[in-house]
Amino acid sequence: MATISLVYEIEDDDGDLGSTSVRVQDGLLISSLTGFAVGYANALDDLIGGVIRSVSAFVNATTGTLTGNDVGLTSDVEQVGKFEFLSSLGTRVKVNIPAINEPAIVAPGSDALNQSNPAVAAFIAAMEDGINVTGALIEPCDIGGASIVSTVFAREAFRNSGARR
Amino acid sequence: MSDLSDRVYELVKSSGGKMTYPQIYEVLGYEDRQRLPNAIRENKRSGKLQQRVDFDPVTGQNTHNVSVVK
Repeated sequence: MATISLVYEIEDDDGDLGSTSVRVQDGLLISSLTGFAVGYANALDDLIGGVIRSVSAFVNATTGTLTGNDVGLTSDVEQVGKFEFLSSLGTRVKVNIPAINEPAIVAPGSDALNQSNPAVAAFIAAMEDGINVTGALIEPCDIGGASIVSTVFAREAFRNSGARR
Repeated sequence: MSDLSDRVYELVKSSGGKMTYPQIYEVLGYEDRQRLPNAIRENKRSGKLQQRVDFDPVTGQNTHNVSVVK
């Protein structure tokens, strides 16, 4: 099954850039795809301290209408939210989200993200169950187009962005 | 099914069959909040609850809903 990748570019307080992406099944109306792009951006935005600068796929979706998409004072794209999911075929899908908002969502004394936190729970629900866009359920998938069905882990990590100033 | 799973199911059912995740979260105490994702997963596996992130193109906002299936 053909898939479409959406790439989100995230900028932190220093102006450094990082990116994360999600893949969805093809065969969508453009309006549904752009709706999903903004819905997924909402889910990301609650997780991060950085600001989403761009969303790219075969079509572009605006970030100008996102609410609360502001850069946090201590946000850092080298501070990464590292998620791993399983598809219905057992394929692992890795998602790394730069500029994760550590104080808000990392469990105290641990590197695990707090999956009960409403922002984390909503993001995981968007990955496992999809985002409903005006009646069309759009589900993230693996490289072969199989839907994501479960979460293996969610934790923080640190990664050199190669862009430190 | 754990006691919390049953409790979450009954809570959603008694609220008209649909609640947002933050609404459920607010009702629970600290320890139960930490177990809420697993409670929802247990209900999903047994086909009793489903969760959806609904995007409203008019407001541009997401709502994380949990609703009764059966």
